[in-house]
Amino acid sequence: MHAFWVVAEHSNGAVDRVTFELLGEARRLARESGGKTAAVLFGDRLEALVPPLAHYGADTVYTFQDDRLARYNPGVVVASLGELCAAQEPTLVLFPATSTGNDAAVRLSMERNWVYAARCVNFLRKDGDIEMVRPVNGQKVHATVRGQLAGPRLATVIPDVIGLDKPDPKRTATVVACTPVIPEETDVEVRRFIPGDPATIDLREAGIIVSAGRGVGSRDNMQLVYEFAAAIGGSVGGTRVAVDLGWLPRERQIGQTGKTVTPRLYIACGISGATQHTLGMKDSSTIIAINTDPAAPIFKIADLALETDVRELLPTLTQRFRQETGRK
Amino acid sequence: MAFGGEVFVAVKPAVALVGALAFENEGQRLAPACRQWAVNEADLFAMEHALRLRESGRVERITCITAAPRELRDFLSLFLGMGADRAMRIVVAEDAGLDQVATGTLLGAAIRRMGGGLVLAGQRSDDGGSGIVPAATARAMGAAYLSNASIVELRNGHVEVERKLEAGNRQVWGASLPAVVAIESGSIQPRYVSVAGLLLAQRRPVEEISIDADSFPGPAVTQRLAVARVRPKKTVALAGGAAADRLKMMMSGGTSGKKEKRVLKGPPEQLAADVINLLRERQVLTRDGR
Repeated sequence: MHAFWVVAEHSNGAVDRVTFELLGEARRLARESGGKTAAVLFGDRLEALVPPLAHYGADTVYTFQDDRLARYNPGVVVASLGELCAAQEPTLVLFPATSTGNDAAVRLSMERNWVYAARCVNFLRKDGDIEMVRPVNGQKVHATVRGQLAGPRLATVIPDVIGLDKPDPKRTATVVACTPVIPEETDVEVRRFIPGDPATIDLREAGIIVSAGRGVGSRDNMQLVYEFAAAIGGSVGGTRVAVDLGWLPRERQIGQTGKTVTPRLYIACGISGATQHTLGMKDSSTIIAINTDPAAPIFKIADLALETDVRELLPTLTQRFRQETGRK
Repeated sequence: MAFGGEVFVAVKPAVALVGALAFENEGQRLAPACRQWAVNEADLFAMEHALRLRESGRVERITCITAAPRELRDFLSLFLGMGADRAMRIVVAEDAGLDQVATGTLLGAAIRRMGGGLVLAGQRSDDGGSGIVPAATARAMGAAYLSNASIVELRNGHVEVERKLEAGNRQVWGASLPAVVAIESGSIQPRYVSVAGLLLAQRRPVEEISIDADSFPGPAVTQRLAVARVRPKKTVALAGGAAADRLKMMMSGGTSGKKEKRVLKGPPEQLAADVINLLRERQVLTRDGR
């Protein structure tokens, strides 16, 4: 029977969204071929992560729980996953195309001599095998890759390309607790982890951006934006107008003459949505726009449009998010 | 392993597209009319890191090495112009059809034969973008592989890198030499090479070496190329609308499909609750807000 696996990623006690996308894809392939899906979890505290994986489509969840896996450890992950794959022989193993997923997949491929395709966007079933579609040459060309070696196919998938399925809260998964394989010798020593500070990181790396435009009203009101960003764990950016008015430094400008960003959440505060700005943020996964003008162009690309004064809404939002997230 | 003071920078020529797309050999490769060789920009970042290591006195010599056809005569000039001490080419036929694993294996075998201890390479090439070449180089050398490096430190036969992760996070890894370090693009500003410097570099010799490629494994994959077609995202729901809007959505990869938008009005408390509900539904907001 075909088996389609997803190597799950999680941070701060929650499964990352990209893992759910991959589970949706694994589920589609399993449905088409009469196969099963599984998720593989590495970490130090995993119990709370299992139910959401089941809701999004995992039939089985393999867990590797160990204090040494609190952060990505390539030696342990690759040895453990290699043993499990060799024993269970999945058809396809999907990894998120993140720094961790890319590293684990290519290491496993090199160690086991298994076929690997990086940064895929689609998968096709053909002649009993899986073909992996990946963009090359500046995304103008798609290469459909077919493996010539035995063993599972390994693939990383670009986040936010496939999209999410609706979760089914009634679904459950079989949990299989596995013992991590700790290699006697590893060539790479994991020394320390340095958490990023949303207030100072480059906007292009930010997962959540709270962006300010003329509608914020004044430099003093920027404090509301900063407080909200701190409460939600986001970085502050803005339009050219906000930068020209001196409310933000130049490196925080988003748009045609600033930075192009693709965060998973973009909250536009008092931004009308001129083309010069939207060119730099239109590919954000989720866009929430707050503006008093119901005809503001930003509403056309927003997932949620809030027709209200940002100065009235932000204090309430800040308070609610502080309650939700425990941030100050 | 004792470090001999020489750092290798593994570089590869990239394929740049020109003109209308066309394919040959039943889609196995791009037609010559629509491709030209170009410098792989990702390798420039690796070169700059090597230069900084030499300037700090950690390494004595920088060697650029590539596996490329002889026709690409001036390909390594840019790296010589940037400051490489020598350039080497493993000669391969243009129609050799090396895949990424074979390219990395070839580079690794050559560097190993020369006793190389530290190799820097671009994390992902501009054309293929798979990130396989540095890992395959490390495997062929029997070396440690350190990926996504944005800072490289070298001390007493050990290398330490700061890895760039998502959301501004960093992770520090260390390894003994030999090691292959894949450098993250954008981690450093590569230096500018003047036209005069480039012309002078073009006069410098490029050493050629040959490796017996017959014993190498065959290609791990076959591939079929086609013009890219955007895959519509599942979150896009086509709730009616004009044909022009639907076409625009398809062409833009789904962004215009967000026209199922909800415009909400009401008291701030209600709107705040709506925002939180949306973020929970989309798995954007986790328990601690990340």
